[in-house]
Amino acid sequence: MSMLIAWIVMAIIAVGLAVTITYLIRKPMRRMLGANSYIAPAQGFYVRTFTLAASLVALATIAGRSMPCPDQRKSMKAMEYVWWVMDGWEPLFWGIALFLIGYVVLLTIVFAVLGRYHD
Amino acid sequence: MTNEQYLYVSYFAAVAVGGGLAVATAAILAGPNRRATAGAVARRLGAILRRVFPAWLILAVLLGFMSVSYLDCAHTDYADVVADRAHLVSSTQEHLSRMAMYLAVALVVYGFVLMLFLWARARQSCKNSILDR
Repeated sequence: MSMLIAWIVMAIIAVGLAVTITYLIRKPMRRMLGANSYIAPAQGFYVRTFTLAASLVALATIAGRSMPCPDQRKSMKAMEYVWWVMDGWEPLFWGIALFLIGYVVLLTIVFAVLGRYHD
Repeated sequence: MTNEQYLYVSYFAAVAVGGGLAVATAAILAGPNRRATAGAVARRLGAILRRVFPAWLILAVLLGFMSVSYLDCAHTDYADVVADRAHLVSSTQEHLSRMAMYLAVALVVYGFVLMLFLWARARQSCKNSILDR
């Protein structure tokens, strides 16, 4: 039961992080993708893809997190659950950071290629 | 539930979850994808992209699923795999993790392909407007 709670806490943190990043980036991304009529039709696709992919990366990171063995779990103290959740932060942040930089590179290429056209 | 039953259930449930995730993602992005690839210029290429998109996502998820193996140095045959419940659980988690990751990567790669499409369309429409003048 405690393991399930720890896992749910981690899932909430992961999805919360993805949602926060999406919230912060959404507006400037929309503005950038509305630069001209050549990019504008794809605005919705790129914004929605960002939201979905960020959530998928966050969920992929926590889904792959190994759980302690059942024998080990029996003797685990409350603080050990906290450690388990905190240990999961490193791959989570790595995953999100790599995804962010990859997506920013993609958007930069999109803007470099299509931003030079004028209506 | 015996370990063997768990293996059957978790294996097929993982495929179903992954497939469902790919279909749901394709459905969520179908509208924006249609808007991005619509238009008179490069119409046929747009139609190809729209048809390829769901298949691409489903293939990516299946690829992620198939990239996980139950067999490793400590579990060299079926009996070893079935005997170890913890290994079955971690393999299922690995399946879900890889499928979600491959799906995310597939989305970003498709975003790149879409950018190439938009570029080709922009060039084409610029050419057309020069010819019209």
